[in-house]
Amino acid sequence: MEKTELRKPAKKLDARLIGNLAPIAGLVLVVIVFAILTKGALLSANNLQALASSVITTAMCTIGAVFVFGAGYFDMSMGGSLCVAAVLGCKTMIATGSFLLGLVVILAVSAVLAIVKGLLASYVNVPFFIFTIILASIFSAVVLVIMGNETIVSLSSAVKDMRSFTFSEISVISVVVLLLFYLFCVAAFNYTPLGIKAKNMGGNIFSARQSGIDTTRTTLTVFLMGALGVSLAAMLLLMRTRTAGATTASTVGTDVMVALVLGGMPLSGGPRSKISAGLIGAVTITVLNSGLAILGLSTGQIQITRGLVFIVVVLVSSLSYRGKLLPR
Amino acid sequence: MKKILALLLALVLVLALTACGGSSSSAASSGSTASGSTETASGAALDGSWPAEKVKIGVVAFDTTDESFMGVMDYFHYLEKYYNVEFTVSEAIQSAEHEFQFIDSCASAGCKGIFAYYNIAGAESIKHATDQGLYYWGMAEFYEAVKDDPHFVGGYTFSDPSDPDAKNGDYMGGYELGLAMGNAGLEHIAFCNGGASFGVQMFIDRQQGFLDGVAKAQADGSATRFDPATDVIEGFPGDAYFAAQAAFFSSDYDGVVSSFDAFTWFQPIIDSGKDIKVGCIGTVSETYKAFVDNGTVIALVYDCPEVVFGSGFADLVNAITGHDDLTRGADGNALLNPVKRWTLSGAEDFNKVYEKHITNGEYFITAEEMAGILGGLNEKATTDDVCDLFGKTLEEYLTK
Repeated sequence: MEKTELRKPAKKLDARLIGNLAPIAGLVLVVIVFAILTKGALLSANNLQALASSVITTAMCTIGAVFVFGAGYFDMSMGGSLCVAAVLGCKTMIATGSFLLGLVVILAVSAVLAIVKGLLASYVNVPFFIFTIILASIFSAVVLVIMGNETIVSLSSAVKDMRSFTFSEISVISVVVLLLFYLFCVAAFNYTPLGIKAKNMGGNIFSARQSGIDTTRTTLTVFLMGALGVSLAAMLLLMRTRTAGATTASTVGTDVMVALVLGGMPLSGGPRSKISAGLIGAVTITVLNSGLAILGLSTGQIQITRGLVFIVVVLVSSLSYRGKLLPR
Repeated sequence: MKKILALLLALVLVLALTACGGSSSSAASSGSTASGSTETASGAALDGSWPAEKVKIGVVAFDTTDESFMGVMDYFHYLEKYYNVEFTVSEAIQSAEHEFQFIDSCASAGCKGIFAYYNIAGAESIKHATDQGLYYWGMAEFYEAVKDDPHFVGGYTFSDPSDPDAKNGDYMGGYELGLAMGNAGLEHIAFCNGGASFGVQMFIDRQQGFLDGVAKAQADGSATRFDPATDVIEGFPGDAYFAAQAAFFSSDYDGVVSSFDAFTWFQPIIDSGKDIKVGCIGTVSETYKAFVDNGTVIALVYDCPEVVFGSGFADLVNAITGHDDLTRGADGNALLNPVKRWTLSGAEDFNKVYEKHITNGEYFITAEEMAGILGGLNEKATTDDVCDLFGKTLEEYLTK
């Protein structure tokens, strides 16, 4: 009897530990496997710089998305928000020649779109992910209207020369901004009432309300945190590619979702949400894509491999989160 | 336990797949090396052993299932049998960031050059590639911004660089189609304008060329009717496009011109039972052959892969093997190769190309001829030789 009582907590602890370490182990496994298969090319100095630049869009959006998904809102429109913000920001920079003014526009546009989404999430009693799928289409259409007869807008046509950054410079800037944003989000999510409220809402919004949490204000705040990630991603994307168009960030909506799953976060949000999931997931998906591309596989082989990895990760996740995986 | 089993299963699947991919690729390249062997003018064997160090080139693609693109890759795979060159093709590039990521991956995979069949971020992509030491070959659209970049090795142009008033190849393609359809004795024709309404320049040029071609035919006495206000089908295949196509078949049209491929028209034409003629920008392939032979497709504007894009191979290999002087003009800037877009009028022209490419598996520019313009294999090669090899009409290649 005494033996049984001692073993139960130990097993729970082991399961939780394994659950927490699984995404990191997955990332390490992906890195090791592809480092071997690419004969070290994956970890070459050039590719590490490329990875740092490539990961930034997905990582920024995914880290910000932890607040939104953590509070129980399944948002598929982050790519659309990023696209609208980047195009308007780029057009502002072209018209004024001011990077700062463009950044202000990016922040403002992202914030307005976040507030719209927050209000919809708070006041309309329809599954939120349906709204975000429609919003993504609307955002794409808005960009087409804004672009008019142009297919792409480029900073090279700005009224005055705008500084371009070298491959190395943009890699360093990306890493620094990413780390600062990550630390800021870790602090906000784990050590402020915002994170606690968001996780409570994701766990059970009714009990959160009954506990005295102002769910509307919290909802707006988490969407604004997501918008901050989108804004920084748009800014760094513009610094890197110096262009924006209707296809900018076209896969971010899906990438964010996949990165969160790879990072070990339940898409239904709640207490098990964690900022690290955003970073680990984004890095994993970027390393996976890079490794597959370096191997020189055909398009079909890459898609099949990536699909298999995602399916298995979802399968493994569902073993521990069965019944909680569907978005609300 | 279930988790561990699932993870092990995933690992096995992924490793098996990637291993299969790698082994099939190397098997293909070693097999092809054995099958292709000929000699250059200088006597060196073209058996896949030159250059000594494998030259890897990344190919930026918009749609890897597009027939025109597949034609280009078929030609490059043919060249892989004779040269120690390997092409890595991108997935369908959807955005500037994807384009940058592919270029980064190419650099990490040991590629030395980028062949841009497609470019979404313009000069920024070229600079991103050349910043990493990659040589870049692509379209003329962004030439002015990068022509003095030592790693930019040029591209192709349908215009005549010596004639500032010359119309570009897209305009001329549309013009030829308009003229051919206008002179075909048709009563009423429609025009599919692709991306013209969205501001895509190549389609705007094709549309303007088509309008001018029809106007020329009408001025010469053609009774063919075409009204730009009512006879234009906008955009690409989708809901609105198919609705307009349905309206087309319920009207009195007897001809349609597509500023892109015309696959979406063939089955509806059969189903309608009408005798409708087609003019389009397309490819020489099995799909088109049946409709050219039965007289449905009466004009086809065609970019012969080796003629239009072959100079990309030569320019990149020359630059990578230390002969980049063959890619630059007297002013030190990269050279654009003027090439011709062919208009195949009817089955006779079409079948000349079909027989060469599909039936015989041959090309108008062979691997041996390519060796004549590679500095590493022919010390006497000049930039004029490079231009001369590619800038010809179908008749000129047939009679050479």
